[in-house]
Amino acid sequence: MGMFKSAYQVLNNEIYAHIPQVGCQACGECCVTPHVTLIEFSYMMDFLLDNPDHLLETLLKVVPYHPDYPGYFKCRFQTADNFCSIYSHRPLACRMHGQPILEKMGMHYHVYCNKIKSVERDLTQEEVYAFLDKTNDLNKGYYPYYTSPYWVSGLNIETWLTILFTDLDRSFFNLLKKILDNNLHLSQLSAYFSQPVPLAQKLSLIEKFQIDFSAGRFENLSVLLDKIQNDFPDTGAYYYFEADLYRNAVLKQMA
Amino acid sequence: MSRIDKTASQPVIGQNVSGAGQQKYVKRSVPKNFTSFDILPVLTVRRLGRSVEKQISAKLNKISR
Repeated sequence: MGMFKSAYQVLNNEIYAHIPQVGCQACGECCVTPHVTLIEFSYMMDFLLDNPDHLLETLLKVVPYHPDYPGYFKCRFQTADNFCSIYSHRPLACRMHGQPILEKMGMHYHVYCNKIKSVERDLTQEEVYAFLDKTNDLNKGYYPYYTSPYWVSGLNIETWLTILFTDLDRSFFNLLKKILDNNLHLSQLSAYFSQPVPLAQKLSLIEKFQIDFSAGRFENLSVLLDKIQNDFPDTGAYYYFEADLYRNAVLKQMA
Repeated sequence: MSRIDKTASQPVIGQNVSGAGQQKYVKRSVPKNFTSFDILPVLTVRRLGRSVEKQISAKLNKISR
């Protein structure tokens, strides 16, 4: 378990254990690759370390795109019979899937499952934010979480694997890789992972955007933000909403 | 997950519009194919986005001085 042992305990005992079960029909249609934080990603991978065959099979898998959600990969951990191969260690995003409170929290633009017939109990908005705050706090304890210029959040599993198994040539991402590797010791398996997402290209655009923004060169920022938001769907929601914050601030400034 | 795209009636994502050769910013809507597995980034930005906003404001103030 390495250095995250206490974080895993908090994750499991204070967050995951309090999320009500939903009556999922296991149709498998909704399993796109979920967004996870560093601690959650590590928790999932740590689980695989106990089963080397499962680990290698997972890394070697070439994941197809989801037929219903353009730009989304299917989940790497979905089995042939539509079950989750890491169910006991699945992340917060999967545990929240199908919770009725999400629609009430103003996320009407998300696509929800209409096959879930029951939920153990309804969560409150306060509980959802408490789970999220606790998860964010856990991550803050191990690296400079959610800081400029990269605002690392919204990374899906494929993006975390890309960080772990490729060289992104950026100190911040090297740090993330080092933290993960110090805990998981998986870097020697990089040859088994053959499906990196184009995170380096996205980071180049983010860096260019930051340079232009800091220099007050606003004229091309909208084009850059569009590219950051739309050209790399494989990288999940990373920098999507942050790009909106920048866009809106510039809009306000120019008004 | 529903095969029906509940977002179909949502506004189209704002794109750049050109007017008189000048690019203008258009406030974006959300992308139409987000799923509920995207809840973490959405809520994280709701929760932590203030630190981004503060930094943006500070930089913009510095630039406009």
